[in-house]
Formats: sequence, structure tokens, C-alpha cells
Amino acid sequence: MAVDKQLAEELYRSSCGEKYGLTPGDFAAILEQIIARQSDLESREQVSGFLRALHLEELALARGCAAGHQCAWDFFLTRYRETLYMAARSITRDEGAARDLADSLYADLYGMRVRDGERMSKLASYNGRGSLAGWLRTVLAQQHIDEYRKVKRLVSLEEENEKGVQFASAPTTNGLNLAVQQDQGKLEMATDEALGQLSSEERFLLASYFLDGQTLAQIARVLRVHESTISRKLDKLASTLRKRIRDILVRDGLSRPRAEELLETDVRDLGVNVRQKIAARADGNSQEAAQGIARPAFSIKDKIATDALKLNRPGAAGKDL
Amino acid sequence: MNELPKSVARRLAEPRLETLVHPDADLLTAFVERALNPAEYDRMMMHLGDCCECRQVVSLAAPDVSASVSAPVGSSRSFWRWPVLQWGAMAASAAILLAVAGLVVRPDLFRSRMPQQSSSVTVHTGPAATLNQQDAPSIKPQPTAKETDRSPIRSSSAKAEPAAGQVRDSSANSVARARTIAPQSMASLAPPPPPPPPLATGGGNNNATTPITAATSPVPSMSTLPPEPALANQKPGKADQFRSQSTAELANQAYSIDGTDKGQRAPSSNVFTFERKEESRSKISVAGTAAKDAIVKGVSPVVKTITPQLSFGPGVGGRFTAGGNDAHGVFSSISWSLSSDGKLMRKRLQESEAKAVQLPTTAPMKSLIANGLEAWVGGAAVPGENSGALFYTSDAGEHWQRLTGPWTGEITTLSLSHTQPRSITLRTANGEWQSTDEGKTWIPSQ
Repeated sequence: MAVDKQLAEELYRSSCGEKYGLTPGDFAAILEQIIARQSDLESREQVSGFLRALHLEELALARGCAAGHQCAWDFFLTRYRETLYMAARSITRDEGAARDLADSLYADLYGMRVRDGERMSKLASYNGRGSLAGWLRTVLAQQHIDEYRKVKRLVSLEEENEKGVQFASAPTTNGLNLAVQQDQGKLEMATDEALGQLSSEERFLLASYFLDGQTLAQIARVLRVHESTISRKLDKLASTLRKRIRDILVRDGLSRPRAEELLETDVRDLGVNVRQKIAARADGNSQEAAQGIARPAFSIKDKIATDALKLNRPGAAGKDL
Repeated sequence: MNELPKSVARRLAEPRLETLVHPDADLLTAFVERALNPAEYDRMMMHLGDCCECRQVVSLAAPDVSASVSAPVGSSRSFWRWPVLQWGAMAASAAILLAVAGLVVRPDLFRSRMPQQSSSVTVHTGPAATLNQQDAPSIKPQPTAKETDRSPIRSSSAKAEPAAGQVRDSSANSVARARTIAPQSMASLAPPPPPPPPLATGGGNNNATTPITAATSPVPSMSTLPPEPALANQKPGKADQFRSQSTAELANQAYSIDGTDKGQRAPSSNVFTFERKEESRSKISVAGTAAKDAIVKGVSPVVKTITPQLSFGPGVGGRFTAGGNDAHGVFSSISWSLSSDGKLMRKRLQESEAKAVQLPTTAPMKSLIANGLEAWVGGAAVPGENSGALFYTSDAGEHWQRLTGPWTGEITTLSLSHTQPRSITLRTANGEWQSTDEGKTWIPSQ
């Protein structure tokens, strides 16, 4: 769907694009590019509504900077320099790291990378859906997580070698009897069925709290609700899920006590944790090793486990903990 | 908190294949700021349910507020659900019934409480007070004695000394008239006007020839004044903080101090005029000339956090401390002021008191304007020169640059334009000059 010329001119005027060195033609091309990414806009009214909802002035500023206009950069630096550093500080919680993070983003924003002889500025990917300050914060967060993962992976390999991870084996259920394996299969199917009935927001809540270890406040901040609302929802969700899975297991022929027992334990807990055993033996602390076996298979607040899962190592979480 | 079954935690950790394409920063930002349409929101939520990395990004990118201001997509639909309406209607009915019952049973009690509940602002002006045409519509004329008799509310309000919202006259023999400003709920204020850059402007000092000393004619500090009711009852909401992060409204946290003659304070009194002016609600405007006039006007829900920080330097009307908070901290990081002896004072957020800033001249400074880390300060001429000195800093006063121009005489007033970004007006006794490039070039004002 093409952008109406009259609308493009009107939006150009309200974007103050001239101030940032953009011509009406440039701005119309930017709008076309943004619209082209939106497949769900069918009517002219939808296009108009969508474009009018954009942060037009910030879009013009960002694209002016991406195009290398000095006036846009002057304005950008004056307005967003401090914002950027403060956002970096709040993300890294460390002054030095914040400086590094913000500076590295500056390089990307300015476009230090050149592709096909053309300077690639990250600001060219800003489409004005959210505020520019929010976008900068998001990009900073992405960059921070990328850096964290990069560093963590490099370190973790050495650490893992030192800890004898190379001896770790994949989880196995070979040693378990057939009945237990069947029950485990039923549990997994029941879990899938129960999870399938959750809404996307409920799944997000569960994953954020139980998997990522985010606090109630952090989740509440994202969803813009009060912490107590999140707490109530999570509490209800956890109990509902447990009840649903138990009911499904009972429906599938398991007794109620057996279903409860399955929910409490995980067959993978019974597998031998080689890494922990070796580490514990090396430390001369056999008691801790015994505890390691008894500990829950999945410590939901351990991000390391989550990262291990992200590295496509199924079952790593269970072994780690 | 109920414990999650382990099998569920394990399943949640396994990403579903269809969600492995990550949304870009633009969409994530729009999600955080609730700018997605319902379909996009659902898709994003589905992805976030499975993607640990994006959940972390969203968590880090979310602004540091828990309350929402910009309503999420579809929130209007959910608000107008029947249960909400049902309970709302019941609560409203109960409130009306109680109010009617109270009026019928104890009308005297109701009347006696009215002045305290009213959000009217009582204003004292000096005898020589004048108001220009622009100010006029927002101010109700002072009730005559007859009107006052007819209106118990107004008379109580006028008599209530020191009632909230009033400015106490510190001079015993001053003759002050009380004017009642039309009550105006802060919540009823319309959205603020389009954005000038975030400003923190401190004001000029015209004709500072007869400074008032604190002993003979003390000038009240804002911090000692009774709080304005609407402001006192409203803590800076997190909603406001969040709203201020949008560029369009960040500018509305600015306030200005300009030296124009918008009113007068009687020479014998030190009563300041407070106005709530509808059309200037997006900014605080402080106007004053030394020893004569001082007006503080205009408040908005957003700027209320900075109001208590406005203060007048001891003994000299027209010198101001400017400082305040915004969600970014840009504005709050530096607070500028001019001391009574013309020294530039700077207070950083973490500092307990303002410290003098070393300027390249010893000439006393008369006026300043500031915009975040940038500041312009002007005053008397450097010895041996004819034109007042003007200095500019872009790094919170670490380095100063001398700006020159065609003006002559001591710089009495500097002001930043609210409508034209980077436009500065400079005034001396000999005229007025304007710069649209942050002070590099100057032209005489028309």
C-alpha cells in the first residue's frame, strides 16, 4: 500500500524533517519503507492511522542522523546523550560498564561499520513505533545481553573444563523400569496439554518468574500492573496448572496419589549428576554431592541454566543443578 | 507462592520452533510502550513466553515506573467491562447519597468545610499590581464586600489565614488585596502544548538598583510558603514521570523565568502574586524585577515536583534558583542560580548545597538560562568594556566560552524561547537582541 502524497507532505511538516536535513522526498521514502514492512495494513485509512501514530519527529531525527546530517546529530547529542548514559547506567549498574556500553552503541549509531561502501547506522532501523529514547534503551539492553552472553560463553568453557564438564553425560532413563518411564511419558503429555491451555500472557508470566527469576516488580513494570496483581496471578496459575496436570493424569488412569507423586518428583532427578559428583569429590565434600542429587532438577532462578538451554543442550539444566 | 511443577518448568524452558525469529528493537520498544495493536501485542506476548532473551531485553528496557500512563491497546475496551461499570455506578451512587444526606442533615457543617475542600488559590497582590490582557481571563475579579457577604465560601477562603494556596505577606504593614482564582482541578488540565526543548531557565533581574535586604524587607522563600493545595496533595506520580519521557511532553516540565513586567509588587510589601493561568499551565513562568515585581505563575501536574525548589535569593527579588526533576534526570542533574552578589551558583543532584562556579570574569552576573547541562549567564561588563559579559557552557560549567554580540550595557535579562528551539533573547537597558543559534550570532529584536 503506497503512501498518499498529500499525507506524506503533511507528516513531513509535522515531523520537522527540514530541521534535520531531510527533504520531503527522503521522508516519503522512509514512510514507504516503513509501510512496506507492515503486511496487515489493508486500507488507506489504516495506513494513515498507522503513520500518524508514529513518533514522526523522532523518526525524522533518527533518519537525519543516519543520513549523516550534522544538524540532526547536534540535536541528537544534545537531547539524548545524557539519556543514553543514564539508561546504560541503569542497565549495567556500573559506571564504567555503562560508559563502555553507551560508547559502543554510539559507534553503531554513528555507523562505524561500512557495507558495500555505505555507512551502516543503527539509527536507520528505527521506525518510530516507540519513542526514540525507549528504542535507545532497548538497543542498549540488547547490546548488553549480547555482550554478556559473549563474555559468559568464553569464560564458561574454561570454567566448565576446569569443573570437568567434559565428563558430563546426557540424561538417560535407561536404568529406570518401564512403568516409571510410562508414567514419565504421561506426565510430559499432561504437562503439554495443560500448558497448551494457557494464554500467551500467562506463559510469559510463568517463564519470567519461574524461569528467568525476574522479580514481581520487574514483571509488573513490563506489564504495567501492580506487583500484587502479578503475585496473585502467578499464585493462581501455579496452583491451576498443578491441578490441571493432576486431573489429566488421573483421567489417563493414574491414581491420585501417584499423580501427586509424579508432580513432586521428576524422573530426571534420579539420573546421576556426574559433574557435581566429580566436583564434589574434588572438593572433598561428598555431602554436597549427595545434596546435589537430592536438589530439584530445575532451579528456576538460575540464569545459567537458562543460558545452557539456549545453547541447545537439552537436559543441561537438570545436570547443572 | 505456589510451587510450579518441575515438569512445567522444564517444558517452559524449551522454546517452540515458531517463535525463534526475534522481533526487532522497534517492536520491542513499541511493546514496552504499549504502542502495538492487539494482534501484534498477542504475537509479541507469545514470543516472549518462549524467548528468554527477549524477555530479558524487555525487562531491561522497561522504564523505571510501575504505573502506566499511556493506556495499553485495548485497555479502553477492558475498562468498560460491565463489572467495572457496575461497581463504579454503585460507588458513585453511594457518594451522591452521602453528599445529599450530609447537606440535608448538617448544612452548616458542609458549608464550613467547603473552603478547605476548594482548590481555589488566593492571591495577594500589591497595590500597584497590574495584569496584562493575556492574564485577565484566568482571574476572577476580586469580590466586592457585597459579593463576599453573599458568598460564604469566598469570604471564608479570603479570611482563612494562612490557608493553603495562599502566600503569606511577611511584611506587617503591607496592604494586600486578595484575589480568588477560579478553582481548577489539576486533573482537568488539557494536554500540554507542543515541545520546546527541555528547559531550565533562571531569570533575569531588571533594574537591580535598590536591592531589598533580608532584614528590612525579607523576601519569602518558596520553601517557606504554604503549599498550593492541588500540588501539596499530589505527589509526583509515577504516571507523570513516565509521561514525561515522551519527547513531546518532556518540554512541558520546563519552566521559565522572564523579566517582563507582568505585574508589580508594592515597594512596601513583599507579597508575591501567584496565578494559575490556564493557557500557561505547561510551564512555570516567573517574572520579576528587583525590589519591585515578582510573579510566580502557572503550574502543571508535571512540573509540580520542581515548584518547591524555586526560591528567591535572599534580599533580592528577581534572582532565582532554578532546578527540578525529570524522568531522565537531565534536568535534575544541575540546578543553577545566581547569588545575591552576582555569583553563579551550581548545585548538582548529589550535592547538599550550591557552590559558586568560577567564571572567566569577576563582573557580577545578572541573569541566567539553562537547558540541562548547557547554561548561558550574563551580567555586567568586563572592566574596560562597554557591553555586558555573556558566557556559555555546554558541560555543566566545567568550561566556559565567552559570547560576544552587538549589545551595549549590562545584560539584565536572558530568556530561552519556548517555541523556537535554541532561540535566546538578551536584554539590556539599551535594547533587546535575539539569537537563534544558541548565542553565536545576534540581531536586534523587532
